[in-house]
Amino acid sequence: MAEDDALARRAAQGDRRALEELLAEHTDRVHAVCRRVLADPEDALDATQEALIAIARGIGGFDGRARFTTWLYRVATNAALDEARRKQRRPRAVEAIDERATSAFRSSGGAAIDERVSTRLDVDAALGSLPEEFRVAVVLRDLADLDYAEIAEVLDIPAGTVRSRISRGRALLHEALGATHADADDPTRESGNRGETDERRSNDG
Amino acid sequence: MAEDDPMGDEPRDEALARALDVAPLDELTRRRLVGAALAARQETTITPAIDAPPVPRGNRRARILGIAAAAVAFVVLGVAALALPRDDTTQVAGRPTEASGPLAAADASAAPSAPDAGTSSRTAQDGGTAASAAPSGASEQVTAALPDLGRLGDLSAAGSRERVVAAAEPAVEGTTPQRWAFTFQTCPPRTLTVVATGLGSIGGDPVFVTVARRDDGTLRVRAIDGTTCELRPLP
Repeated sequence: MAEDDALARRAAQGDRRALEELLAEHTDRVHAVCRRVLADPEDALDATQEALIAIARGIGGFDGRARFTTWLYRVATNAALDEARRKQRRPRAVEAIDERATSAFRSSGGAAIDERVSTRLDVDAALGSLPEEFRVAVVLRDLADLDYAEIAEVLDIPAGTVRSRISRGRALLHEALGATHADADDPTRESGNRGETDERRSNDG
Repeated sequence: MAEDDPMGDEPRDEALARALDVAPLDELTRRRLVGAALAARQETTITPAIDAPPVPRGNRRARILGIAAAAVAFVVLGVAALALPRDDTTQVAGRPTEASGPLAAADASAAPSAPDAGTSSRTAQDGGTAASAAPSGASEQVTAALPDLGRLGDLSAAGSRERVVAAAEPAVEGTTPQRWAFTFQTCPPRTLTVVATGLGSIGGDPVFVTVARRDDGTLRVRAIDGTTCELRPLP
């Protein structure tokens, strides 16, 4: 973390290589937050791009008073929420998530496609069932591993509010996952799917 | 990132952490995202310098010359491959070269215009919709009725994405996405699945604009930088 802050200070002073290193190092973190705040993998990539641009453009103002990662997560969260709001203004199709996930997996092959689609849908659907403020709080705590004070800083809300949002968000998420996994043994089996092609994106437009 | 700090944070929920885990991006995507962010930053640092004498004057001239050269390249490539669809009829390769006039005049400040600009070479790639619609006896290379949004002007300003979507929506209504092989400046040939295309500029650099349709029916707009060949986000 201290290394990140040192890199960030160098980048703030105009060191392009430091900035590149910093961005490359944190792209996956930014993407993970965007991916879980937004259900659509492509929207998540758009938000990730916006966040990285915002970081690259705003790094000159980084003064080191806050931790770099806190600032990074703030930018990532805002980019994801902006993308979500943009999307809300667009017309939506019914069952869009099912279609997306199905098409993403259709080309990936393998023996357990149905199971993986089901699992991916479970997590996306469960997250999607949460109010945005709960979803973001849970993602920052349990995915990004930020502590309550950092989440309070990222979201600019009191620590007590962070606590209640995480608590309620977790309860709702467990409930939603439990419901969708009523016939499954392990509600957390998605972690076995790392590297699947649904997280990938071709460059074709 | 404390698990249990003095403020009494609840510990991280490891089961949820595993469920929420996201696969790392592939290296290519990561590089592309980082490259685009660095390029965007460079734009913001270069742009103010354009008006500062004396070096930026040369930069501006070089940029304008570059754009003009790019436009010429479009024409050469466009003629070599084939021309663009203008209406709902399938067209045969070997379109006349009169498009070179407006193309040569294209610059970064071009205002949005009617869909008339046949610029880069965009060709129907495979035997899909486009080829199957070719009239009997036509050349093997054909273009199909893919809406061309023409020159979309400077896409650097905020709201450009919405502007392109607004321009594209009526044009692509009922259009079937098509696979297109395209050549743009010095970028490697690639295949895109799109419902409409256009041209514009970002920070003075020419970009090829693609419009694709998401599964939910909404439109996705992307720009391919003719200089770096990278995807560029529209603000």
